[in-house]
Amino acid sequence: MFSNSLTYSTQNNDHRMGSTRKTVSEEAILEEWQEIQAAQQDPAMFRPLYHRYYDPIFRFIFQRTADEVLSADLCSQVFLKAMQRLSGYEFKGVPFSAWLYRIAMNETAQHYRRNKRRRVVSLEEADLSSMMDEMEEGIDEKEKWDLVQALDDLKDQDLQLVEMRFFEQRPFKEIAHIMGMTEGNAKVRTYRILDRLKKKLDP
Amino acid sequence: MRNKYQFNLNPRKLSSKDIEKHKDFDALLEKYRQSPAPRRSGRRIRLLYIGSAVAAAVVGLIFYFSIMQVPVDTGPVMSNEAYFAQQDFANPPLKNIQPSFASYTVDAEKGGTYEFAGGSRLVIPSRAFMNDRGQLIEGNVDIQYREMHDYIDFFLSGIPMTYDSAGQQYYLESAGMIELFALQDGKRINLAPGKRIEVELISEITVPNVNVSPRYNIYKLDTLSREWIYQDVDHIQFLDQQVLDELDPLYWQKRALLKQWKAIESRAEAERARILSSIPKPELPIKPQPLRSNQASIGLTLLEDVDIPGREFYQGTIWQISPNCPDFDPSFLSQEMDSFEFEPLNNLEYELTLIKGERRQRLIIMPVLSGSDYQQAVEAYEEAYADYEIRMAERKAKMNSQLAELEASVAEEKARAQRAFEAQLDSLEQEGVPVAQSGIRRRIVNRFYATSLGIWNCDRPVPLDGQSLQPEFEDQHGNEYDKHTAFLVSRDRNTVLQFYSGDGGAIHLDEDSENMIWLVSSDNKIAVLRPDQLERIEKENGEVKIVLHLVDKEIRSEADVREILQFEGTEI
Repeated sequence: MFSNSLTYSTQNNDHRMGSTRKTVSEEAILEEWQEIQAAQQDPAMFRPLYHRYYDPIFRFIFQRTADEVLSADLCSQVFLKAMQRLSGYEFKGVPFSAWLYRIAMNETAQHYRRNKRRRVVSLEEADLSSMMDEMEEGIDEKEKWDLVQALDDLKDQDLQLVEMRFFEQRPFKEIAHIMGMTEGNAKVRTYRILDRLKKKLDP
Repeated sequence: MRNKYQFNLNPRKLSSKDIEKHKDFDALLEKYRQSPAPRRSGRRIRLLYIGSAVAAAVVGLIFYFSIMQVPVDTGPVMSNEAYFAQQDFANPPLKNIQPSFASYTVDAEKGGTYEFAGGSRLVIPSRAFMNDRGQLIEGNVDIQYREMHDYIDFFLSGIPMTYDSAGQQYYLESAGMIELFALQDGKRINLAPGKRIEVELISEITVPNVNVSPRYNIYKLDTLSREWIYQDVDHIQFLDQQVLDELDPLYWQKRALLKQWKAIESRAEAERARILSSIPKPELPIKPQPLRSNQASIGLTLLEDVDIPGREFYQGTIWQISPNCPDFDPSFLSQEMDSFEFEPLNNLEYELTLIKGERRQRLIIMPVLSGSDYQQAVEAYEEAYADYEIRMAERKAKMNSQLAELEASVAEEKARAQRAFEAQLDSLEQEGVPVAQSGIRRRIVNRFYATSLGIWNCDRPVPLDGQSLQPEFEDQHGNEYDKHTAFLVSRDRNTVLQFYSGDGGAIHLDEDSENMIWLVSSDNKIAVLRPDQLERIEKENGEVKIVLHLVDKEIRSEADVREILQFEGTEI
C-alpha cells in the first residue's frame, strides 16, 4: 500500500525474499534515526540495526552471487564498512536500509571487478514470464531464451533496475532509494529498458 | 551470446536458518575494533619503496629529516582508510573559504547557453529538469556552477582525489573539475532522465611533449558510495593560447619551441586547405522528381531561359507548386508579370517571386517530369550518378594519399623541433640551469556531457606509488598534530592527496618533483612544510618528527591560502 508518507509496500507476492519486507513509515525512519545516532556514539549500539538488516542484505548479496560462503563474507564486509562510515551518515529522510543496500551493491560489484568474474544474476522462470507479460510478449521457451540474451546486453545499472523490480519484486520507491534516484526516474528508466528489450525481441 | 553475466535460473533458496548461522555481531564488533592497523610502540618515519619507484628513489630527493627522540605512543593507531571512513566524504578544511559558485537563471522550458568568465560554456537543453516526484519543471531554475582547477581549489573544496579501480589505489590528476547543481524556489532539483548538459570546460594542463596528445577521462563523484565513477573519455582540444610563465628559467626555450610548433601547424593548415581545394569535388547530379498528382502545376514560360542545375535531365520540365508553398491567390497568376525573382532554396525547390506593379507574390515551386520524360531523365541521372561515384572515390584516394604524406611530414617536423628542444635542455642542465619543469602549459577545452548534476572531473588515474612515509607532525611551537587531515601536493601533478596525520597514516611522495605538505590547525591556521624544508629532512630510518611551520596568520580568503601555499618561495 502506498501513502503520502515514506512507505514501502508490504509484499505479499514476495515468494523468494524469505522475510516479508518491512513497512518503513516516516515514524519508523525517525525512530531508527535515534538508533543510528546511538550507534554513532557507541559502535556496540549498532547491534539492533545489524539484526534487523542482516537477513535482507544477505539475501540481496546471495541473489547476486549464488554462493552462500561468499555471501557471508561480503555481508560481513558490508556491515563492517557501514560501521566504519556510520559517523558520516546523515539523516536525509531515506530508510537506513537503502544505505546498506547501496554499500552491498558496491561491495558485490567490487568483488566481481577484483576477481574479473562475471556477475551472477539469479532469476526464476516465473520472473521471465512476468517480464514478458509486462512487455506484452509471448512466453514460449525460445522467447524466454531470447529475453535472457537481451538481458545479457544490458549495462550493469540497467540490469540492477530490472533485477530489483522483476526478480526481487521491489517497489519503485525502494529501488529509487537504493539507486539514489527519484521514484519517477526509476519508473521511467525501467520502462525505457523494457522498451529497448522489446525492440530487441521484435526487431 | 556474449555472456557478460552468469544467469542462474531457478536458484537454490536459502532459509532464514541458513542465513542465521552466519550472523555474529560480536565477531563483527571485534573486527571493527581491530580494523585499524595494529598498535606499534613508538612512532617513527618509515621509508618504504614501492614498485618502480625504487629505481627512481636512488636518484630522487635527498631528505634531511631532523631526528628527535619520540615518546612512547599510547594513542590510537588508525589507517588512512579507517580515518577517512569516519569523515564526511567531501570535507572542506576551511568551512568559510570555498571555490565560489556562479549563479545563472535559466527558463526550464527553453534551456539555454551560458558562458562563464573564464570562457567555459554550458548548454542546457529545453525541459531538462524534474522535481523529486519525477515531474518536469517549468519556470525559472537557478543554476549554480563552479570550477576547480588547481591544488588550492581541490584543497579548499575538500573533495577527495583518490580512485579505486579493481582494488588498486590511484590518485586522480585533474585537467579541471566542475560542480553543478540546480534549484527552484530554494529546493534542489534533478536532471530529467535522458537529458544531458553539454559542458565545455576551459582549463590548463602541462604537456610534457608537443607531439603527445594528453589522455584524460571523465569521472562523476558518487557521494553516497564515496567513489569516483568513470563516465567517458575527455574530448580535449588545444586552444591557441599557450600559458608561459616569464619567470620560468626555460621561458625562452619553451617560447621558441611553441613558435616553431605553431609555424609548423599553420603551414600544415595552409597545405591541408590547398590539398582540399586543388582536387575539386565533382558535382552531385540532381535526382529528377516525378510529377505529383496531388500538387498543382503551373505553366511558367518566363522560366524557359533560366539556368537551373541538372537542366539536362529536365527536358519537358513541368513546374509544380511545392507542398511547402505558402498560401497564394491563383487569380494573380493569370496576368502578365512586370518582372520576377528566382532563387534556388535547395536541390529540389526554388523560390519564385512574381512582381506586378506594387504587388509581389512569393511561390515555392519544384521542377518535375512525367511519363517518358521522367524515365529518360532517371536513366540519364543514374549514368551520371555512377560516374559521380567513380570520380568521388578517385578524389578521396588522391586526397588521402596527399594528406597522409603531409601528416607524416608534419609529425617529422614536430619531432625534430622537440629533439632540438631536448638537446637544449641537456646543455642547459650541464650548465646548472634547473630543467625539471620542462613541460609546457597549454590552454584546453574539455568537452563532455553531464548526464546528472553533481561533481564532474576531467582526470587521469595515476598509480599511488612513490616513496611511502609514515610521519609524525608537530609545529615549531611543539604542538602535535595527530588527529588531522594532512595534505600533500607535488608540483608536477595537478591533484591533492589527503592523509591521516596520526600513527598509521601514510603518504606517498613524488620523488621526481617538489612536494609540499600542510594541515589545518584547530584554530584554522595553516601549518606547512614547504618543498625546500622537505628536501632538508634527512632520509634515514629512525624515530623522527616532521616539524611544520605554523603560519601565524588568520586565514580570511582564498588569496591568503594561495599566498601561504605557493611553491615559489615566499618565506613566511
